[in-house]
Amino acid sequence: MSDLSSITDAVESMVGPFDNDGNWEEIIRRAQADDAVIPRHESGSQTSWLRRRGTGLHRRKVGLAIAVAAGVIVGSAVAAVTLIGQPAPQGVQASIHRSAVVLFAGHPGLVKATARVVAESRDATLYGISDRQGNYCVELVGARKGLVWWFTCGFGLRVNGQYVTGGTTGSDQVASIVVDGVEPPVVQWGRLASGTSKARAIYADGTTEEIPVGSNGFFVYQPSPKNQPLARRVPMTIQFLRKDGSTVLSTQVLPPQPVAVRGVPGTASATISGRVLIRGAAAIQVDALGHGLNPKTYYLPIRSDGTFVLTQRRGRPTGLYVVDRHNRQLSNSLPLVPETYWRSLIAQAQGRSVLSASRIRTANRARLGGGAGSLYAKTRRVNWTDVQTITGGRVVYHTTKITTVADTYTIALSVTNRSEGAVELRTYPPKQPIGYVSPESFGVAYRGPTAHRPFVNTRATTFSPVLPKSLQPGESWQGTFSGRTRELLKHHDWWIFFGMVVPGGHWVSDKTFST
Amino acid sequence: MAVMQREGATLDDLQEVYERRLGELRRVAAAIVYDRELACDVVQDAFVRAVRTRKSFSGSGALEGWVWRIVVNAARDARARARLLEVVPNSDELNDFFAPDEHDVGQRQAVRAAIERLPERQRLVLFLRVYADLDYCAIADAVGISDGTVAATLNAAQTRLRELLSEVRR
Repeated sequence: MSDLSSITDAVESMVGPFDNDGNWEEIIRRAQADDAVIPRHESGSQTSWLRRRGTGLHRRKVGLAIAVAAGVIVGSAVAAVTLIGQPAPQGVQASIHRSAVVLFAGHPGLVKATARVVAESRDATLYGISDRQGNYCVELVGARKGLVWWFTCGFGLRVNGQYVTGGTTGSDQVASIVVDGVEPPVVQWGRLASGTSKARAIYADGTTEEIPVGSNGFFVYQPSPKNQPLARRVPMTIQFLRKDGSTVLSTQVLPPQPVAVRGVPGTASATISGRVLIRGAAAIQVDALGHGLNPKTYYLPIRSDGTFVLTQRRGRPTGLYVVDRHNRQLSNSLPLVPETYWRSLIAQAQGRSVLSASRIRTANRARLGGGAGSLYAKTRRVNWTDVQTITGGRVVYHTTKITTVADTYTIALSVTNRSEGAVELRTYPPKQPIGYVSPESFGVAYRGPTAHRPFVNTRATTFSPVLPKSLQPGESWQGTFSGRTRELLKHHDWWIFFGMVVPGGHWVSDKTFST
Repeated sequence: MAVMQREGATLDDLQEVYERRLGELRRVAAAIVYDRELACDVVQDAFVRAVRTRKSFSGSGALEGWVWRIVVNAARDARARARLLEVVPNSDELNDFFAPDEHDVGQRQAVRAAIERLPERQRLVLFLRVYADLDYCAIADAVGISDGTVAATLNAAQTRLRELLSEVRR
């Protein structure tokens, strides 16, 4: 102990310090996913039912049967909320493992890792393995007709002794293959850079969408149905942001174009066709391998209706992209996957858990009440005006936006006092016990199951900005209120509750929104 | 005067502890499980548990103490599981873990060997004191013992370590 002066120093030197670079969002996501596994009362009722049965072998058998049944229910419920963390199907495991063995031989942890779902969108799943040094392999697989697919591995960087993830928008070669006439949706994937926690997509016309992030910074971005046509036509910029909202990295991503592949590219019977939707497109540049695997490039004309067909044999075409009249690249580079290969991918998806994921979702939604609830943020822009008549005038509620994500809702609105006197605004905590009076306040409500279908209200817990205690004549409050209830996952139709205002009481909107 | 005792922790409070204390939490977990990567996972899992059970935080002590207890328990569980599955690191891996640099390898091995011979509670209290700089009260919260016991345990650990290390020197 020559240069360590004390016990404390000795212990201190034993385990080196760690950085504070964490991932809080992952914790919240995982906690919420676990929360949503099964309603507590359901699991509780199974336990109490079991307790009433006899003892001994019979009980153990019943217990086992229930455990298996509960496992099935729990499994499907998890899938309905999120598939993140679920193991990849065998085929995906195998392809990722094969690459990891070659590329990451010095990282036994990565080679042995089980590929899992690391991000997902409505129609595509990203499977992957990764380590803390930033190395990873991922496979993107579409889950519907029309095939979205790509596979890649990446390496981490070491900067000043720290391993960092440089961040990627790995969408420059995502295959977008038309299957049986069905075009797949535009799907982009990527991984956040170290130090960033959010991502968003910005289109040339200024449209912006937040990108949901999966585990370990991976994401799959599937533009909303409204923005799908735009995502085919114009480039988008994907930005990585720090927690404080500042931008760290902006990358332009070129739009993929749908391509149909028949046969094996490069053989006499092969046909490759597609449709170009990009503005300013002039030709298709084809990258091919000629004799001796020498790279060749040639161009195909685009027809007046935007379609093109590649039939001639000029080497083995490996990929193509759209160019403008100055030969500048306008689309992502579309890998030309032989038909047998993409058909095997689809078979694999259908036969294993890729498509079964969507089947599980469908089944589970049915179990929860026929399609209620959505994992994905659903925003409805509305222009609803509700007028509550009170003594001396009225209170006007103007609702502009309703957002639901899983079990959370947010309502954007304004409240205006159009009466001669001041009105008080009162709210009540969500869990206030019901007594003789059951006051209602701002929130959302569904119709209860009993004969007269009473409203069951979920009161808001958060107001932004803070709701004033009162509104003077002519005065308005504009903001949002939000709350959380598992019932959003179970019930389709919802009403908005306003108030309570004094004088006046609460007011229920006569319009409904559905989850 | 009525004293309002807050029940449940908020996400903001937990996030604040996470962001402020993550490095120390990981370091203590690493000292328990002997694996830096596993320590990061342990802390992450512990916070998932904390978020899920935040409503059960009674508010009678400091939130940070409650979090420390969850992390320490998670690390001990992970260590026990590793022993059960016989995936505890071999001596080479331990040397890599404890002494990534060539410098001081012998000394650190001696310290590690000495610490390994301490009873578990003494080790834990020592880690919390040295790596997290927790005061006696916070250590008491984290380990579930009284302040006085913390002081006595820490003193006993230091005395025992001094003896063990002097044996090594001889």
